[in-house]
This record gives sequence, C-alpha cells and structure tokens, in this order.
Amino acid sequence: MEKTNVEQQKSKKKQSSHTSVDRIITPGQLVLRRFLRNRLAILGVIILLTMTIFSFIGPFFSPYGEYEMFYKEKITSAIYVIAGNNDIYSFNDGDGALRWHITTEEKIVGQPIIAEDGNIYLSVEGSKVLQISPEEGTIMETHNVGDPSEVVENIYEPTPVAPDNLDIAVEDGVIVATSQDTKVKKWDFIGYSDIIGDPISDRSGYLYAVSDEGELYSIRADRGILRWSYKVDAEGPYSVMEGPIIMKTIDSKAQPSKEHWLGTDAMGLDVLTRLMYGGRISLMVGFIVIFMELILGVLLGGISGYYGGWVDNLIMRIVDVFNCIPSIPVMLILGSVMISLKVPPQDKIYVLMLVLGLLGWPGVARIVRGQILSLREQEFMVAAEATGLRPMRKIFKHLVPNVMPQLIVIATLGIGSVILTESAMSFLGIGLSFPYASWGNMVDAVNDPEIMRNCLNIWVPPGICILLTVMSFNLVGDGLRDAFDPKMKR
Amino acid sequence: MKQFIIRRILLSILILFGVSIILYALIRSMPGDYVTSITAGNPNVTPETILRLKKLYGLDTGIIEGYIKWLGQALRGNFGESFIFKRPVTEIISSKMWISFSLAFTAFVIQIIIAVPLGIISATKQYSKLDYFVTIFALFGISLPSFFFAAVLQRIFAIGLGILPLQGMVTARYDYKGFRLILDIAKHFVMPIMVFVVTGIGGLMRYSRGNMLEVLSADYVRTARAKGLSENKVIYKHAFRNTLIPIVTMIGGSIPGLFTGAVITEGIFAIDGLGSTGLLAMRQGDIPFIMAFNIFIAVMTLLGTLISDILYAVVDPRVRLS
Repeated sequence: MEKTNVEQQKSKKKQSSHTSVDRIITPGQLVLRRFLRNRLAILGVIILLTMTIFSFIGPFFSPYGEYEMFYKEKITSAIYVIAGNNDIYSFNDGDGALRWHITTEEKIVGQPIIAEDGNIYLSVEGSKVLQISPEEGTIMETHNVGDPSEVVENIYEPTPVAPDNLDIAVEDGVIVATSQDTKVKKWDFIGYSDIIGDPISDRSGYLYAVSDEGELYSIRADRGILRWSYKVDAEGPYSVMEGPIIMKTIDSKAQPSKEHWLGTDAMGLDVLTRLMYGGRISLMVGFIVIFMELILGVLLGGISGYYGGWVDNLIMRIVDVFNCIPSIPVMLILGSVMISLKVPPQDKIYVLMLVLGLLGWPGVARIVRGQILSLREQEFMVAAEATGLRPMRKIFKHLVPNVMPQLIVIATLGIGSVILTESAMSFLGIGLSFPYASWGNMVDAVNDPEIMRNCLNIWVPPGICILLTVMSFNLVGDGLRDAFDPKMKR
Repeated sequence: MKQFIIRRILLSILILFGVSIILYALIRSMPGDYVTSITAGNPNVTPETILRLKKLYGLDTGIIEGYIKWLGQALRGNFGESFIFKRPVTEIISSKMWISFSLAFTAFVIQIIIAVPLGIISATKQYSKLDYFVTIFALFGISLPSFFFAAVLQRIFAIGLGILPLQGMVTARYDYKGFRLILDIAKHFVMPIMVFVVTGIGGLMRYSRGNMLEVLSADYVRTARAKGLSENKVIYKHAFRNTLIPIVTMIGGSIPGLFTGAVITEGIFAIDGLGSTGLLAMRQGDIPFIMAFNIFIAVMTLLGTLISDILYAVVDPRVRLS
C-alpha cells in the first residue's frame, strides 16, 4: 500500500511536469488515457478487432462458401458386360446397380480396351474406335483407326487377385475354387445357368462371372456366396470386364491441408470458412441482443426510477418475474415451438435474439433504476425541475446520460454473456441450425465420438473462438469500468 | 425483521404466480404435445384414442382452463404425475435433486476454498503478478463455455489418457459395493465437478477481490494503519472480517440454487440429476414435470435472494431490513 502511494505521487509529479497549465484534459480524454494504460483491456480490444475482421471481412478472402460441400475422388471398379454385337452394360461394383447401357450402331468387333483413366475403347465395324466415358457411357470421340491400341496410350491392366490363395476355375459352367497349397476344393458356385469364361475380380477382391444366358453374378471370393446378380436383356455371347472409374464422395472429416487450413467437417464443409460465418452470427447476436436489452432496460428502468410509487412497484415486480424465469428451459420450450411452427432455419436466429433480449433486460433496468433513484435527488435535477421540462425529456436528456458510463460497461460485459448463452443454445440445437454455421453448433459436432477422438480440428477452433471473444469483451468491460471510475488510482 | 420476511414471502407468491402463468402459456403453446408424440407412427391409433389420451393427460382443455386446473392442484401441493416417468412429479424432483446437490455442493465447497483466499490475497497485492493471474484466471473461467470445457476434459481424461470414465455415474460392468462403490461414483464425478469449479469460480473470486479492495480503501483501515498496527493485523483482523460480510451473504444465497441442477453439464456427463431429467422432460413435452421443475427453480431463486438479504442483516448489525 505504501508503495502504491509513493508510485502515485511519482506519477502525479510526472503528470504535472508533462501537462502544462494551458492544456486542459476533458473527462473523456482522462477516461481514454486510463483505459489505454490498462494492458489487458488493450489486449481485449486487439482480439476483438481481429475477430471482427476475421468474421466480417475474412469471408471475402475465403475461396469457399459457407455451405459449399467438398468432394474427393476415389477410384473404384466398374463392371462391364459386353453382350452380343451391339450392347455394353456398366454396373456399380458395390450394389450391382446398372449405371448405364448403350447400344452401338455398328457391330462390336473383338474385346474392348480400357485405358488407365477408365475410358473404354471399343472397336466397331468399319475400322472405327469409339471412346466411351466410364461415368455416363457417352461416346466422347470416334477415332478412325482400325485397332484401339493405336489411340490408347496407357492400357489398364486389371489386377488379377487370387483371394486367399485360391485357384478359381470354371468347370462345366460351375465356378470351382481350390486351395493352392492343399489342392482341396474350398467352394463351388452354381448359377441359374451355365457360367462361361473366366471370372474376373475387382479392386475389393470380389469375383464377377457371366453365364451363357446373360446373367451377371457378383460372388464373395472367400466363401463363394452370391452378393448380387443381374440379368442382361441383350443377346449373347457375353463377356465381362472390369475397369477403373473415378467416384466423387463427400470429403468429410478431412485433416488440415493446404486447401482446407482447418480441414473439413462431417458434411464436407470447410471449417475455417464456417468459423468466419459463425463469428458473424455470434458477434451480431451479441450486439443486437444487448441493444434490445439496453433499450428495454433504460426505458423501463428510467420510468421506474423517475416516477417511483406504484409504477416503480409494478415494473420492479415484472423485473422479478423475468428474473425468476430460468432461461435455458424457456429457450428449450421455444425451440420446440419454433420447430413445430416450421420457422425456417435462417429465421430461427431472429427469434432467438428476440427472446434473449426479452429475458435479459431486467438486469439493465435494475441498474438504471438504482442510479436514477440516487441521481434524481441531486441539485441539477432540481434545476431541471425548475425549468419546467417534460418528464420524458428530464429522464432521457438529463438522467440517462449520467448513467451512460455504467451502461457502456454493462453492455460490454453483457455482450460476452449473450455470446456464451447463444452458443450454449446452438449447442443444444435451439439456435441456428444446419446449413448455417454458428460457433455453438460447430462445437456440437463433438457429440460424434469419432470426431471427439480424431478430429480436433473440427470442434476445438470454434470453442477457442468463443472463449477468446467472450474473454475479450470481459477484459474490455473491466477496463472501461476501471477507466470510468474516478476513484481508480491508475 | 419478521415483517420483512412475511412481506417478502407474500411478494414471492405474487411473483411465482406471474412466472407460472408465463411458463404455462409457453409450454401449452408447444404444438407437438406428448400425446401426439407417443401416438405418432402408430397405425392402430384412432381419433377416439387420441381424444381419450388427451383427456387422461389433461391436454383437452384450453390454456386458461388448463392453467386454472393446474393452479388449483398445485396450490394443494399436487403437481401431478409425470408423463414419461409415470410417478408423482414431486417425488421425482425430491429424489433427483440430491444427486444434483451433492455434485454442485462439492464443487461449491472447492470453489470457496480456492476462490475466497485467492481473491483476498490478490486484493492485498493489487497489480502484482498473482493479482494478474487471479484476474485472468477468473475471467477465463467466466468466459469458458461449459459444454466446450466438458468436451475438452472428456477428450483429455477419458479418451486420451483413459484414467476417468467418459460419462455416467457408476460403472455398469462391476457390481461394486460399499467403499468401492463410493470410490467409483467419485471417479465419475471428477470431471463434472471440474467443469462446475472452473466455470463457476471466476464470479466468487472477483467478488471477494472486489470486496476486499473496497474494504481496504475504507476509513477504518486507514485508521488502523495510522494507529501503527502491523500490516498483517490490519489485513487479517480489521479488513478480512469485514470482507466476510458480503461473502457470507453471497454464499448463503447461492445454496438454494445448488439444488436446481445444471442442464448442460449434467446432460453431457449423463448424470442422472435434476438438470438432465429436466432436459429430457422438455424435449418430450412432459408438461407436469416441466412446470414443477421451472417453478422449483423459481422458488429456489427467490429463496436464495431472501436468504442472502436475511443473512446480510444477521451478519452486519448496521443493516436494517425494511
């Protein structure tokens, strides 16, 4: 304590030497100076500015949209059945769905050739080669050459898989698998009709064979069990081929990379971009709710404090009632009301703001009332009374401005707690819902155990953003309170 | 004093009346009521069954009529039977609140043990390193979202290190008895208590620091210094005792709130307390339980302020209640 006194004297001396007599410091400057001296508050201001820039300007620099899904390419197998002279069928290897079927105008000659990129080169009569895309089965180009090998650069070599060291052979229309080591028959597969040609295998190790009546079988190689079958309409003879196809799948839960600095979430959305949009929501909700709380609180608190009597009693009882209403249960109830009223997801946030504002004003009203109760007994109010001003003017022109410092402090501290409440609501699924991002609903992803364990990049950054933002508002609020307090020594 | 308490209780009844009206109107305007949700998807349900069920659950009346019915029963102490638990609501609340209380009370005691001394010491050494640490730690706790902190703890201690159970209250696989059972429950309570302590400690810390600062700038402290008392005596004999007044009243006023449970934390850790039960009831539209639960919270809030006001007068003889 002694030490601080000495310091204080020192700083006083410093001040008096710095400030010459003619330089007048306004109270505002004094407050600003005291605020700037508070290092933690300055840190808070810097973090808040960064967050604001990040969320409001950042999206312009992000190449991605808020709900832009990302896909990754995965090479899987496509199974082709060439039937007769004119037909080619393409099947999905997983479930046997027919992907496409084309009938060529000219007769197919010989076996098609599949390139490394999955394109199918089909030689047809008239020494032409058709280039067919594996995805849609459209004829992309017609080459006027006799042999496909003249135009195909990299020929795809199907990987011959011998599953579990089995020898697979077709004997009398039946697939027989024998162990390579012991030469013991492991299983055989009998189709509805006789199987012709050697079975082929895809990238996952399943076997495919076609029968003389045009039936395609997909068989589990380890036990010879049928997975699915498909009856081809066209005339024979039939042959079966396997080729690569590039499939697009949602790039979900991707680890951070150059393209996605914070990876992607479970829906394949860019986490960093969503973090920016989420910040917009959190900051906007904070400011708007506090604005509503202030308007309601100042209005009702001001009236209550100025008039006193039964008006004061009534308003204060309303304040008590609102104080006793637990906010989370009420929000939960409203959440379900919103769902059944089919409030669109983008409008939910406005309802949330409205309700948070309606629940939050009593605190402001209490403080304003308390301040005005003491202010209205002061001399300047007697003077205002003497000028015969209207009560509303007295309240809002003479009393409320005197409460301004407290209001600024409450507002700053209040924004922090509003953001915290909003994020908790979004976490519980009441606030903004998918596809719109908010920091709270981004942390919500943690309910998936796999994300909690492996994908820290999805749920930790939004949590830290909430923490930093709320903490900064608190730091700035504390700094402002200290700066406004004339009793403060520093 | 007696008059003050009676007046306050009468006022509280008025406030509870207002709270219950607002809550009941809100709850009944939830269109997806309990009957619709239990009969949804059942092809055997006829409109007559729905009507009968609605009558059974008391959902066939309008909001005003329903409220008057509810109020009439509630005034007689009958809060009805929970739709989902099929037991009297008061019975459920009185059994679950002790789980919530034991958890919250343990956390509260830990908070007091840490926060009050640290707050007071940091006030006596204002602007020291310790003071900065306390200030920042308190703010950190206040600003930390409880659901995020809970997830971080689960990730570190349950999944990462595997030394604490992820959630629940007892290990279901083992049939522990006696001391081992207590140990097992304690292990399950570590993380929820950590969440309560860290997110709740900031307020108490700042409160005790702020009060101590106020007391230290009081005239009687200056007088004590002027008398030439040692700094220790000034702080621990004169200032400390006075700073305890608001702290004691705050602590006393917080006790009722410990019964009401924490919806989010209990939900995340699957603690079978009042908070998580309330969450379940609210998601399912269990009107008697939601009403009783919210009224319970309101009563506890009012009780808390009443207790702290009374304590204020008891601890500080200068204060007169009127």
